[in-house]
Amino acid sequence: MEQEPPLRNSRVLIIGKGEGWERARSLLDSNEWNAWAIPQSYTLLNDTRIDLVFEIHSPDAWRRKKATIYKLNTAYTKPKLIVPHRVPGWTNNSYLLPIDRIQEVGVPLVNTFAWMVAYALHRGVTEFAFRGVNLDFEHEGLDERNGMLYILGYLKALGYRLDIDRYSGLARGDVWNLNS
Amino acid sequence: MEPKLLSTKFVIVGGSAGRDLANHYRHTDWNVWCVARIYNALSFATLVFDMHQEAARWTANTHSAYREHKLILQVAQEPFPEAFQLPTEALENEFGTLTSSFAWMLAYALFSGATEIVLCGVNMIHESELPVQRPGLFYLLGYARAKGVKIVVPYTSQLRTDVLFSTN
Repeated sequence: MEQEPPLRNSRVLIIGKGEGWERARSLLDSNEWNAWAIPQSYTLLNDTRIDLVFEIHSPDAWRRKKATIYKLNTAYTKPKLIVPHRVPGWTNNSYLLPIDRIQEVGVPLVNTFAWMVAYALHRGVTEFAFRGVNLDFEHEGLDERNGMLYILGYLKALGYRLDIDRYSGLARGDVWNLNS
Repeated sequence: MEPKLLSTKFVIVGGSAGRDLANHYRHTDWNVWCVARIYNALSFATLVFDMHQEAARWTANTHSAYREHKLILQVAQEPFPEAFQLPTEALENEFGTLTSSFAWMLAYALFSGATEIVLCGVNMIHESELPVQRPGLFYLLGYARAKGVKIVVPYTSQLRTDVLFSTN
């Protein structure tokens, strides 16, 4: 059976590469949050405090950022990379995402952040913070933004605690009263 | 005074392609809610929403709905002093800022204990609707799913993106 990465507690900080990513630092200073990043934000933060890095894309897409993947896979005695499929020679040292369990959660897996939320729900997380998650890039278009708002509505209705940078593109000035 | 509900099933009708599907719910126990601008084509609607607060945007349909005791506004005011009034504060406390007429309608249906909601003629694909209105509607759809409310979006609607396909 695959080993799952340990969690500090039931609070997860999700960090993207969008404007405001640096505001994650104030939450990283404490040990109160599991810090989860994407490869780009991990590179930006350059902080060993990050607990887990999610790479959801196919190996073909890794070529553009292979240095990061290689570093994540080899540079630490404690693995930080988590992927849906382990690729020999590239991600030997990574954790594996339990795809079936994540799909059972039932939220739309529209982007990496959605995978992170779904995995967190699978692990019993009860509180989420988002920094640097804006979904303002053109390629993120309608489906990613709408899908994330769908997920946030889902979380809000079920009583999960949310902490979203109100200046982010995701909250749009907290127009949806996202924060708990 | 609150509008009388026929059941916990709601059809929310907008003015875009697919609104004719609402005819299927005529003479049923479904609550048929429409936006004011299409009330002339949907006279069997049970409640008519005009969320505009500027008199210049009220139309003959708004006046017709008022005469037939079907009009609901954010704030009842002249010349519609006896219109139904949304519990705006309660809705915004629960759902945040409601960014479109359909968001108000969906939020009010959820607030009223909806168990099933059909969206007809709601596309939300106009350029002006994309930045805030459309995501705001998806926020409420996610909320509805978490509460176990069945949401039906016809194939004709441009709301039927992968998000909904993957979760319905």
